[in-house]
Amino acid sequence: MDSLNVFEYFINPNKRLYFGYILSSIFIAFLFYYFTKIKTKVIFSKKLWFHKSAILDYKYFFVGYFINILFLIPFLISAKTIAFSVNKFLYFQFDFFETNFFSYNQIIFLYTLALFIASDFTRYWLHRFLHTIPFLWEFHKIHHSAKVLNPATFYRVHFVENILFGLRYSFTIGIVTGIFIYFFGAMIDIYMVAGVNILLFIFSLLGSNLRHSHVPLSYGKYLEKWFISPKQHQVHHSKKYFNKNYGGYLAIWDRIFGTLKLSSEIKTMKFGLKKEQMKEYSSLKDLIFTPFKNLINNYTRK
Amino acid sequence: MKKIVLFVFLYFACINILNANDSVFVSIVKNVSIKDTQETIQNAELLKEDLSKQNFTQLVKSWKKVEALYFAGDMDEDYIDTPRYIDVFHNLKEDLNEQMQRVIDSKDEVNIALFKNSFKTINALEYVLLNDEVISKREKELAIVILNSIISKLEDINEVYENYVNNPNKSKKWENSLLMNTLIASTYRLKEWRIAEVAGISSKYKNNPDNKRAEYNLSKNSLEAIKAILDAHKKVMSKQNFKNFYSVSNSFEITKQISDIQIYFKNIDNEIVKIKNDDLTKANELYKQVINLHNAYYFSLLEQLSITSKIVDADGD
Repeated sequence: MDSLNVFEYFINPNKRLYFGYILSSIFIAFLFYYFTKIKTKVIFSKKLWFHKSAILDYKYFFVGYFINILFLIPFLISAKTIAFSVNKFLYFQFDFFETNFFSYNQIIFLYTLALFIASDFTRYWLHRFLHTIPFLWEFHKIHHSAKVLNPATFYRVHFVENILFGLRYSFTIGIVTGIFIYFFGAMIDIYMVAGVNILLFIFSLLGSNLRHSHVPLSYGKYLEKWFISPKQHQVHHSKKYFNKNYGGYLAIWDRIFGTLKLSSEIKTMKFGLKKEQMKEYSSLKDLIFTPFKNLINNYTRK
Repeated sequence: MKKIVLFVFLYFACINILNANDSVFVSIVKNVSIKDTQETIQNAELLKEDLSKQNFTQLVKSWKKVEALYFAGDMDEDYIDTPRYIDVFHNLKEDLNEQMQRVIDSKDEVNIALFKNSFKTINALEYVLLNDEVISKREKELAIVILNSIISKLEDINEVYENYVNNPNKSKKWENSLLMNTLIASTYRLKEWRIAEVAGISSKYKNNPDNKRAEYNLSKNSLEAIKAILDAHKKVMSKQNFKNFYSVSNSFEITKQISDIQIYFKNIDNEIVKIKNDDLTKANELYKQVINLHNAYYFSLLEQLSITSKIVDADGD
């Protein structure tokens, strides 16, 4: 996001729509249909890719890009500020700390893992709060108003939600980094591939774009207790199960906090909001202003 | 003849180009660590020949520089504890002086009497050489064995450094991080162990100053040790004729931090001049100035040189 280049989303491995992740998702989808013999009619249907909801996703992706530039950058920068504030706090509370207990490689491994786990944990809770706190749900409804799912649906997110996720990012990365700097000083680093945390790179490569798609890829009963499969996320988008599967990559948070739903337990999925609500989210203008309109209405009604 | 001149010219030109391409860390190891280690070995050899107080002071001064910038343990984990085989300051619970007196008094063969690692350190050597005015035959024999042990450890350190500069197999990020962590830890020990605990500033010895807690109280070399440590830091942070943090401050965007550090060095030097007869009990101002240096390393430089983490924008679900 250093410059105004919307195509950066397709060439930057830090982005969900990076062409490498798209290609790997297509490949995984191909294998899925090849081995399961499930009919591919839906996935190749014009009705799906040119559905009103999908077209709105594409438009919103471009508009949202510029909104994000304005609202996200300040928060992304502050992760570093938080890291050094946490480090300072620990230093002044507990004095200087020095250890030779871990090797450099062990520290990198621990830091890489800690970032991934902490980030997945806070994402779970923010996502859950977006559903359970009425004020936040008004903004998150934008994302759930998608009647059909495609990779661009990932970006169908209100800018207020983006701010919250920006803050979540800053605090999570900042706190973990601050703690690691306190314990290990400058000798911290991350195992990375193409400038991305290796764990996130692997998970993104393993079909993260299928989460917002109509490819019902399940990981099976056992693995779905540990990792959220694309189908489990589709279950979350299904009207009846908005309160299930809040997890990002790991299913352990849903398991621990009682919100896990295995995909095998679900027969049919219907995406989007209730019929009467859907018309409130049919244009770009709606996606940006409806949450505010609803909040004002709710407030004045009281 | 012309060919020889041309060859020599090209040889030195190549050496210069190769040196210019060294990382900051490799340059420091080449120009500081290896030189200081070799100088310490020479000083130890000199002391073996002439067990004089001056020669002991020279050994202390050069060793403190090696210890202040000790990287060998990170280059090769087998050498992580090597400094503790040379120096046990602040790492020993027992009273070493009392133990060394027993070693001197014992009738055991020298190698047997020096059975503990701590008995073969520079701190033990200080007692053996300076516990009284005269160095007895027994003390001379003990000193030679201690010095041989110290030299052997220093040769190990030197070898690790030589191996690294011949094959710098770590990333620049690792090198700079190690350099920073070493400087930070060194200033911490300097301010807390070598100044605060003596001057009665630390919480453990609050309002209880006592020079007996100084690093080289017996030989009155504690201030020399402090100066040597700071000299080592200046080799990394101040203007030198080799590549260091000072010379790359522009490209590393640390000019402000480096410039502040020069001021702290100057202030520290001004405070050091005020200390007479190795009396560190009134070193409160020196302590404050070393805090500034430590904080400059810990907060400003670390902030500037450390990493920022990246994460996929996996937000929104």
